[in-house]
Amino acid sequence: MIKLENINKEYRMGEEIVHAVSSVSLEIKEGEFVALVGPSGSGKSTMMHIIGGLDTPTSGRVIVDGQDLSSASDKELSRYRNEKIGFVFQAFNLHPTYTATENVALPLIFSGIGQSNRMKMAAEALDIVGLAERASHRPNQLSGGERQRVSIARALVTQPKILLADEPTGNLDSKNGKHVMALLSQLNKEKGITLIIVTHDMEIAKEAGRIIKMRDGKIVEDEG
Amino acid sequence: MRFSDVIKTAFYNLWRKKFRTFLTVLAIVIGAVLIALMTSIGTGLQRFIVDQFGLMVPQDALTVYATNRSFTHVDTPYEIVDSSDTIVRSFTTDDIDKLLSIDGVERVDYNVGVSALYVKAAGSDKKYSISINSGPDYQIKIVTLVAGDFFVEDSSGKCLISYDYLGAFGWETAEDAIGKEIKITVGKASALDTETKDYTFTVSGVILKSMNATQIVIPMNDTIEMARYHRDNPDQYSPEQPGTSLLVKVSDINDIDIVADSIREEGFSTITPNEILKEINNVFSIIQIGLSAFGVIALVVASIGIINTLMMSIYERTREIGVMKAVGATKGTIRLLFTMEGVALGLIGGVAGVAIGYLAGKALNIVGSYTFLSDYPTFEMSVFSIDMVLLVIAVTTFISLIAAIYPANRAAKLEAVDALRYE
Repeated sequence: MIKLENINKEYRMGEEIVHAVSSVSLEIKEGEFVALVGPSGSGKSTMMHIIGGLDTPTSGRVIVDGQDLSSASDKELSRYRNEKIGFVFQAFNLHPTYTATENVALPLIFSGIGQSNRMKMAAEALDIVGLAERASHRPNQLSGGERQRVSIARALVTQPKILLADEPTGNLDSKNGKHVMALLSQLNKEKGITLIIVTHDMEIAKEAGRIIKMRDGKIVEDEG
Repeated sequence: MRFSDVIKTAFYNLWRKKFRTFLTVLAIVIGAVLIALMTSIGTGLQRFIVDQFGLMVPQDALTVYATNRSFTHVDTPYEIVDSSDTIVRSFTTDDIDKLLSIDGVERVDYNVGVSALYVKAAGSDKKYSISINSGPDYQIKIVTLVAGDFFVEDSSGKCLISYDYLGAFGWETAEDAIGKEIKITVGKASALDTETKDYTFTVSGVILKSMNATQIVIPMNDTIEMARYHRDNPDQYSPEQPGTSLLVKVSDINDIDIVADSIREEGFSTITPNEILKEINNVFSIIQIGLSAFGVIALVVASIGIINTLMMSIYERTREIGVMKAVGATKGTIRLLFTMEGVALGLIGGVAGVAIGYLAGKALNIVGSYTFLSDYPTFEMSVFSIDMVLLVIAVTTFISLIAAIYPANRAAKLEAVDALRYE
């Protein structure tokens, strides 16, 4: 499903060249639940961005679902993100003036789907995360947990094969965090969506079937 | 992304920041109002001048000069190849026959004219300046009368006076003037001869107020008599001495250009009313461009406002742009979204500006008709045409589009990863 071959990612920070990811090779199978853990600056977020097609490696190959991302154009990458990937962010990143439904429908705008179909599909996605009755609420009328569920619904709405969650519980209290984690692992189990979670919280990571530990841009441990 | 969604999203985003959008649009509106109003006033003036021109020159006649010289072309120095070109030649009897034989020529008349010293109302000593107008019936009848009637072509001792003489001669209304007598005094062409002669005319009509405020129209016979006295030349305006210019009337106004060409082929020169009109219109095009330049400057300033608004919007919405990219927006889509916001600003500003300009023009026309334009009831200061309305909206939209290019590119080039991290 996901195949990384000898990935390097370098940044320039002033005079210095930072090796965010160095010589990482990795394979993730369809339907896996993987936790990428490590301290900040370990390269786990960069890894997630590369898998998600938000960032391209300096060298190496990324092949996801048969598609080589390393040589993909902006258009191809955008389409890939739209169709195959669902992102869940730590800060939710919801549109403050859109309702829950409108937020969830956002990716469908870029798929070129018409208004009425968008609303129908968004309502279905909200139903999956258990927020059907909050459909017309705006983010500021929702609790933190609800907001993250809206953002999960947004990630789900295009029926992607892979969900990428960057510290999905980072902005939530433990109770809401547990709910969100339960929802994510349920989606992984029931719908067979490949789930990759970036976290530095080992409690969260333990729920995953496979834990990949990173440090200084390298994989130091891969168990599962 | 569907184009309808692009438009909807653009308007939605502008609506989110109503006050800022309002201020930005206001600047565009000012520019659009200036352009619309100035151009409409230019059009109004142009129509006025063209109408006045129509009141002075019959549209189906040509003034023909005997001299073969393109003296009518003042746009470029004319090279004199033959020195006889510089001599102002007079027509001959043969020339008149030649002109009459041209297809489409209905009649040929002397282009009569005389300069008089002054005019007085009978029984008054007050002298007023005067310009005598005369000609065949068809030429005289292009003016509009507010009172009385035209005189017949072969009559004598009758005249039409400009509206402005009423006040000068102390006649209350145009109707009062009818039947009153005036005296026109003519002197000699030679400055050494101080002899003068008075000619008495009865007012048969009063001409609608026009820019030609001192014209008095008299019959051709009288003009010829006065001209012969003035020049001490009893043969002036006779078949032997038709003069240096003649009036040629065409039988069909649509053939005037063809007839003019035939006349030129015979070695004479002429200029058609259309050609004169073209010159007038050219001048007004330049005036309109000059007037609307103020509006264009205002629009350029407004476009800086558009850039500023869009740049601020991009800074505020950096994360939003990141999310849009993460969920599938291409660079092109982001560029299009922001360009469309700029275009929408220009479109709203243009439409509002033209609407306000139109109302301001109407107000100007109403105020004008009661005050400074009350003497010219048919003249509208501000005239809007659909072409002009569309052009102004197109200009504001286009300038906004140009202004949006830079911010839209900035937004498109934002890296999704950086945009998502942006605080």
